[in-house]
Amino acid sequence: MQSEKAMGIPTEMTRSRTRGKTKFIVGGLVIVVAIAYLIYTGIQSSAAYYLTVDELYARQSEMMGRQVRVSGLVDPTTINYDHQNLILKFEIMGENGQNLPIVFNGPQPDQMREGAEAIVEGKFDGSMFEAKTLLLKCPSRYDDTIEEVTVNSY
Amino acid sequence: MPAIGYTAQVLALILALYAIVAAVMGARKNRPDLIMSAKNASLGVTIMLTVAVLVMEYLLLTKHYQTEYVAQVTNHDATTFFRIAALWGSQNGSLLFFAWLMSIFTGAVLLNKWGAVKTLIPYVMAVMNFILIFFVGLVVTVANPFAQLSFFPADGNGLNPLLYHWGMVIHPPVLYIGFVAFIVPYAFAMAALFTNQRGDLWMRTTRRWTLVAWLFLSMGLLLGGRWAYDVLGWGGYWGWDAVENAALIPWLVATPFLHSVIIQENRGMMKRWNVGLIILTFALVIEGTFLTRSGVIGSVHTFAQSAIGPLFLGFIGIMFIASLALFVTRWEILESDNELDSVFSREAIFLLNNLFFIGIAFTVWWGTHFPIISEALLGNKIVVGPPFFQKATGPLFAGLVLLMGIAPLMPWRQISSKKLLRQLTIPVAVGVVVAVVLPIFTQIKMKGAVMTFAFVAFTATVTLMEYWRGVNARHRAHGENYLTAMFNLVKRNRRRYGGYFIHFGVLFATIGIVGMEFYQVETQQNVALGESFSISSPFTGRYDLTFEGLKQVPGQPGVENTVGTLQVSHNGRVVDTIEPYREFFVRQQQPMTIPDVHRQGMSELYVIVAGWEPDGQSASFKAYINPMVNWLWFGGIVFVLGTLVAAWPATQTTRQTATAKSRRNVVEVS
Repeated sequence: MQSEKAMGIPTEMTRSRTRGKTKFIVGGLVIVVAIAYLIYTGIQSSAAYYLTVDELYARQSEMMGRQVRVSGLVDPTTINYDHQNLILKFEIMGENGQNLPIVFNGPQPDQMREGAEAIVEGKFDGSMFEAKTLLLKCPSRYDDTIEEVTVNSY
Repeated sequence: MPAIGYTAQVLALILALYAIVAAVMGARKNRPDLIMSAKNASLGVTIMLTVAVLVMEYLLLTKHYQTEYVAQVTNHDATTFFRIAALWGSQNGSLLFFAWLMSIFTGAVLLNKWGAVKTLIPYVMAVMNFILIFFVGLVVTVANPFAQLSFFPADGNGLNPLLYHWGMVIHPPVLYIGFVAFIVPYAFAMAALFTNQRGDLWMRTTRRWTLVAWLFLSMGLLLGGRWAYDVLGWGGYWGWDAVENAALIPWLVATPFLHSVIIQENRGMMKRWNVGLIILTFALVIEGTFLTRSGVIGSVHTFAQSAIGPLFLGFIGIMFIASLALFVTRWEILESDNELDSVFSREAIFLLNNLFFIGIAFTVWWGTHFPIISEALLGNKIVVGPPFFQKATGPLFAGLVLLMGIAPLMPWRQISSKKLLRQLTIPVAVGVVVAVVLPIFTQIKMKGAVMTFAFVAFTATVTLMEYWRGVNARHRAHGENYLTAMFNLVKRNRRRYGGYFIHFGVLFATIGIVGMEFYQVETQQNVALGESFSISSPFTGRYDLTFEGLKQVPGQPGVENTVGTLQVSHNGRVVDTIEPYREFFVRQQQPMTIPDVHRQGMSELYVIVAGWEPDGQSASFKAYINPMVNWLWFGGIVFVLGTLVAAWPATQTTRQTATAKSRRNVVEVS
């Protein structure tokens, strides 16, 4: 199907095999290094530690100002939502009774109720966790399966 | 009734075991009767699984809630349509469905007449049944969809609300077909290794099957994206979620496979690479199924954490190691007939394309598994979000767009630099013009976007020129008019010109993706009745949205809808009224956020109801402007049509001329 083009080969046919091979290996390596570099810088810029509330408190100084993802059960008594400015404040519970206060700029999800698990990503300044994303997981009522129900922000 | 379904599953398992033994013994001892018997047993597996599926559908339709699965996925409110679709609504049923689809493919393979590759068939049967045994084994043991409750519940729970959407109803079957159909090229590759075949027979004979698998996988991905856009209400089509990635990764390996087989067919090279790719593709298919079901990585899609995780892992391990062992022992046989002659050759560019694809596949795989990897290696669970995937794969995808334009210019073996330069002149000129004109005259100024569009323009030009060259040649040689010439050109070489059609689909989709990735804007606002908020983008101008009211409307059975009405003005002129709404599934206590859009050319204003106050006097909305997003969907359609053109069975005559031609070609080249 390429007959016309296939005939226009000649000129450089005699080039040495080994030189050709090295060239391909070097070229391939360059690409592999480039991909590794993309992965490395990508991870550097967007990686977040995934911690529980207690772990976050335990490693507080280390995590200060770093991108962190934290999950925990929502304490329904702490929900405070300013609907006009879309500012949502609530706390998630740690295992040791220490809550993590969270502030999120966005609408309050419906599933924010008793028993819901919140997964937030953002930064902790030592007193308040500023969440850039908020995801809620709810125990589905009639099923023993746990399903995530909203991707609230992204 | 459930007992019949379960018995059918058990029989399928026994038949599959028997088929493996009979097929291998038949081939070893050269006993056609045994091979025949294996074939019948294999077809029996398909029949038994069909029976099981029919029984399950019967139970779903007749509200047999004592069957636990039926109670899990349906309730009295469910319509017939969703009762049928409930088969793949949860774990156990979807596993049965998966196994059944796979058995349809294995059955279809056996009903085909294979002629030249007949010797492979016993081993193909053995491999396919081995894979089937795993899935049938799951539904017979730990994931039995026919399990009965000790009581008869009055009503069931109902389907997961996320699934109440046409896109979600057809997305899983389409994706599953894409997944399971890869069993065909995989089984033939394994059979070729078993029987020490050197040639590309396994590849040629399964070419169309592979394309069909790839087509369904592509459609599954597209439908998934469309569903997310229409139903999830976060303004996008792809969230780099673990389960989305699990379906994308095999596609990223299957696509280079489709390209590199062309090198093997034409040049007898890349034999090891191709076998490696198909093993990897299928292993990733199974791993993707595992990721979806095991819950090892949290995701919107995952089923409950369950016992089947470790079983899957064990199976993947066995399958992968066995495949690799076989592969390695046949290493010498798969030696290349030729070597690369030059960097300026189609082979070299295809190789580069392969590297890029595998690079992206690896990147996505790595990012998806990073929480597990980092926890194992560093003791810290570290997650990466969408920015990682965008940053790391973006440049590689852009590179692929460029390569897609370079490859057609390159002949096999080598091209003289003079000839290459001549061919490059026009496309490069077009690309450069686009790169210069865009930032000056349009709003597209970001470097990445400008560069990608320049690549798109370059590649589109090359592809158009390819069509033109072919059409013109036919026009002159056969005196056909241009339309006939175009038709015949594509008909004579569907794979090539259908392939270019697919490339166009990719280029169109790229426009939409660049628009979304670089230029999407969003805003969120709480407004009182009669109040407005605005959102603007240089691509569409300014929109003012006025909140006109909130109403409660009954939706489908068991669902309450809260509809927000917004008047849309564009640059000060009223153009539309949109009604995004919130569905609330009473029984499951779950909401769904359904957006409404106002279309403007290829761009879209996309709005969701984010919340409201009980008195209905104020509500919160999120609005997005998605520039050029419809290019993505349009490109998807072109992409699918192109694949159909490439995969459509050739008529007998064109097939003969094609083979004759390719034979002649081989002689000419060597």
